[in-house]
Amino acid sequence: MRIPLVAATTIALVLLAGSTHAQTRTPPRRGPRTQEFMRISVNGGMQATTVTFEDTQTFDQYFETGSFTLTSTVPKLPFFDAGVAVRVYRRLHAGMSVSFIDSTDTGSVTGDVPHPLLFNQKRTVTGDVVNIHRRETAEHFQASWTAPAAAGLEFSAFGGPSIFNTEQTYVTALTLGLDKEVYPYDTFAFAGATTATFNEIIIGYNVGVDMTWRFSKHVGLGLLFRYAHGEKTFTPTGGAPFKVEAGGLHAGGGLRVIL
Amino acid sequence: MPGFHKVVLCAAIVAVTLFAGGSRLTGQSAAFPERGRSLGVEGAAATLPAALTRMDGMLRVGELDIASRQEDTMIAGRAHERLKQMYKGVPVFGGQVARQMDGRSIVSVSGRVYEGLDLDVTAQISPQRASTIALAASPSGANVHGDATLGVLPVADNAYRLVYSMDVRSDWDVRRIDVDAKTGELVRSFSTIQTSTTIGQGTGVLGGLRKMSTDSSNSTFRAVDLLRPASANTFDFRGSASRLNAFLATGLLFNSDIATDSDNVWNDGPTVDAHVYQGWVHDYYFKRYGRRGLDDHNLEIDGIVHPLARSQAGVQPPDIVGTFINNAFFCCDGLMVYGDGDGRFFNYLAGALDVVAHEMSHGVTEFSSSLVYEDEPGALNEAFSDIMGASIEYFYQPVGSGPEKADWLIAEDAVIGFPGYLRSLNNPNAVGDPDHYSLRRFIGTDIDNGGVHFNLTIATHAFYLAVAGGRNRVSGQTVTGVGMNNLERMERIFYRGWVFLMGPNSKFTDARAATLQAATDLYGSGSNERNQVAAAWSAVGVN
Repeated sequence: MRIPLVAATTIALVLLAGSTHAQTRTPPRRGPRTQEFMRISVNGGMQATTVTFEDTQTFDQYFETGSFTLTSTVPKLPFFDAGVAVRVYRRLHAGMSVSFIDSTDTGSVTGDVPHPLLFNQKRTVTGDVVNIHRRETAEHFQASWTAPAAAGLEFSAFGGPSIFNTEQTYVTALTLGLDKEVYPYDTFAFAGATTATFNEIIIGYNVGVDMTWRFSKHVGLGLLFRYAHGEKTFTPTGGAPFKVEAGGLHAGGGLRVIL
Repeated sequence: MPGFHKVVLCAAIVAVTLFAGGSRLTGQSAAFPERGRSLGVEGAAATLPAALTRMDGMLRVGELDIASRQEDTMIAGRAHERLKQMYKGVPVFGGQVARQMDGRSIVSVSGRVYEGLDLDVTAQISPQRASTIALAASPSGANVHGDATLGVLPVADNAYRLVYSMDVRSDWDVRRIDVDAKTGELVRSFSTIQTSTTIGQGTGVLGGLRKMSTDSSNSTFRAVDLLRPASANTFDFRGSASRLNAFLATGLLFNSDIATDSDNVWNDGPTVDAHVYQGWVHDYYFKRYGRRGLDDHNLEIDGIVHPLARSQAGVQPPDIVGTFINNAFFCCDGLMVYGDGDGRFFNYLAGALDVVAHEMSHGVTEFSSSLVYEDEPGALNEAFSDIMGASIEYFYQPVGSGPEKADWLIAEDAVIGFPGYLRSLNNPNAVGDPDHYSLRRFIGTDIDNGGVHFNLTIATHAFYLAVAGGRNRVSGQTVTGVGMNNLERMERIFYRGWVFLMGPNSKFTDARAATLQAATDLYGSGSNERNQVAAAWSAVGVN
């Protein structure tokens, strides 16, 4: 419930800021061409960068320590984004947007599995683990500065903190056991893996630019370029810590409504 | 000088391995889907609940059939009947009820039957066709054991299929395979090999840490190796002269003789090394040559440690000490015995990998060339064991000198008296053994069966020269050798020559011819390998 609470609080603050502005009713001497109150944006686009997730764990088997690493790449994905910002002072806006990505892909596991009958004769095992899931619901809090340009164009630069509510599937254990072994045991065929899901909040940041072309007083089209990033080290129960990175470069565009 | 004597014990020992260990192939009930109607009741005679009524009904119409009756060995007068579920005259696999009887009264009923069956039990394919389908899905060489049984198999989603069920045996597995009797589709396949195999840890004679294949029984771990196609057991006579004599008189080994440990962390070095090294040697033959055990048919391997206590070395007559204390020997069908050593000249014989390999290689010879154990054939018999002993060290151990290192010495990890080993492949003359055919001795005499432990070094030195090269001390001829990096090639040549191309009465000249043919077979008539084999034999005077 933390995220909705934070979001609601932020929206309330933004609206409050807008309300405060409305109460002053003092037009800026130099500012937007119209006395705007709020900007609403809806975007679709691609997360233009990939994110590699690696989870390395060790395990004890046959009196030795083995290890494995899950490598999973969050591919370039479509993202959806919606945001709202209110003008707080001249061309300065405060706002937030919410973006969402969702990916289910196949990860690859590489590991070293101890030999059941010989010391120091680890077998390399590789295999694929399906249904490696990544979901990010990110809230980007932004302060933006809007600069008008010619022919209805406006450019905004923004930045601020981001909160990523991140789900990530990771591998907790390889499927091992004598019943999975085949004589003479010099090789080990990947027999599956046990997975779990990391579900944590990652704090990060976002920066970017927005280019809006207003083809009417209240409506326009915009392009969005935003880089958001956050990372957190997660330690599963009984396991080794691993780092989870969230975010990426978002490139997209969509509708702008200026009120 | 003590040697590795292939002691021929009394005839009774021939029967030894028939009594060792337990079968590793036992039946296993398959995990049927968690369905079916549970029938369970206590005090049935008093209440006669619906389950009993239902069971009686099934019995009347032939849906249950008494499969077995077993008297209760714990409560007098009781008996247990197993009733298998039938459907239109064919069994329903997994459907069974156990009925406890006290005289004519039913005490309890338990089990699971399947209901809602509605299928035609007329097969559309023959059992032979089903077997062919099962074999097509199995490794080459597999065979159907017994008959394919037509029956109803409960499958997922509360469904049933008419199948032929059969056991298919292959090299490494026994599988229960079910083939749809209407469509020929493979419905189910699972291994029926049931083990309680565990991996233990042990410390060898010289302190080396090993992994052991063991099994567990009644909270006790046993030196029983079920992880290899050839099962292996290590027996511990605990130095008991009476136990040894009883064994010698009857040839019988008992499960109670199997070495045990309470926590699977084994501390008796000879037991650890005998058990582990026997497995290693088995694996070496498989990995290097594809050989399946001593007889190439996965003959069970049995080793005996502590046949006679070390303390008996000063008590027993020399021939007993020389046989059962300061000695290791191969005897009969897969049985090896490893003496404790007297502690002055010999340490525990099982503690030397090349010694274990040497003795087991006698088994390979017995089941292949069967080289007669006297004169030149006997020396070649011994030579093969030394060649394999050294080769196996190089396969498993790091090269060097000192404990548990690969070298060209034999029994260096078991001999503690001067010179610290029994024989040398690279310099046999250092301990007075012949390094040239002209120096052979005792042929035709009773001494050491015609010098089998003496003249062998002529052949083992030829092997060394063919690998590492060098100059023969007597002939002065220099051999280049294939180099240590190509040791494996020479191992394969000599294995092939000895195992496939020689016979019981082969002599040194035959060994030369056999290895040359083996080199030609494997690497070509003009190959460097063949040239080095020829040069090595010539250098030791065998032409």
